[in-house]
Amino acid sequence: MNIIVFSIISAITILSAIGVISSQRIMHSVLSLAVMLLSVAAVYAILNAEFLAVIQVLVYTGGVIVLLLFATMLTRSDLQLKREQPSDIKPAVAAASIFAIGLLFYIVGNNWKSLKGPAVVGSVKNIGMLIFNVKKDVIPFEIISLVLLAAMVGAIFLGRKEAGQ
Amino acid sequence: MIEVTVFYYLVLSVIIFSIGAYGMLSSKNGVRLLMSIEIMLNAVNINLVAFSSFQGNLTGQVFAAFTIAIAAAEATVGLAILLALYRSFGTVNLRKISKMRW
Repeated sequence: MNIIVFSIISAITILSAIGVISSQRIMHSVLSLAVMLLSVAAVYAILNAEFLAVIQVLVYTGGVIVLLLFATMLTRSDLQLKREQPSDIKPAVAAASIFAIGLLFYIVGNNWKSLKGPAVVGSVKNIGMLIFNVKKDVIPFEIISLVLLAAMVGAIFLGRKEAGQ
Repeated sequence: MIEVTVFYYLVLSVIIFSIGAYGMLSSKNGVRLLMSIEIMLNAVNINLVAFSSFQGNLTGQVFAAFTIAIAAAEATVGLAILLALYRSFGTVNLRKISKMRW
């Protein structure tokens, strides 16, 4: 894949991820999160994973972003205009940068040359053959549906008026 | 023209994951904490899809689809918990919600 396309998409992804954690108003960070999720969908598309790109757009920017917007508007925040305290962010910067440097050393130290270019491994049909195969992934798939049902019931229970008191 | 290998995707994923980890450790707002967790899950998904695509093995993409489903469930429950917290404490400032903190 063309390196120019990859650089543009990854630059958009990184900048919007920085925008999520650094913008002052929480609504702006929700909107940058939407941009970031769409560009991650673009990364999937250049990796020949078009099914996941569609799923990403549907589930994240269709569902999760709407949920986050509702939560932002329902919890009126008193710290939208305040900067974070320097004493708060110092250990966070230290932990995140130590983690990143360690992982980067590991990645640079290894040789990834044996893996050749994005292979076209098929799309929706092949993923469906994997998911709905009894010997492969059908049991995790059904358990996922149970997890989603449990999460839905739990969210309804927690969101009721009486649950808060 | 430089060929984009799996190395570039790994570096991109590390950068995004570290941004998410920093946001998770430093944010005071509960909604922003949940967004940082979503960023970290997306970084992991980029890794899974990159290795799946470069190895020609679709199992990584199935894993990534499962991760997306789990992330949706996590966001739902997390936001419901935040709404319940807001109802009882009147704020989503994580530094002020300290009733059960040791």
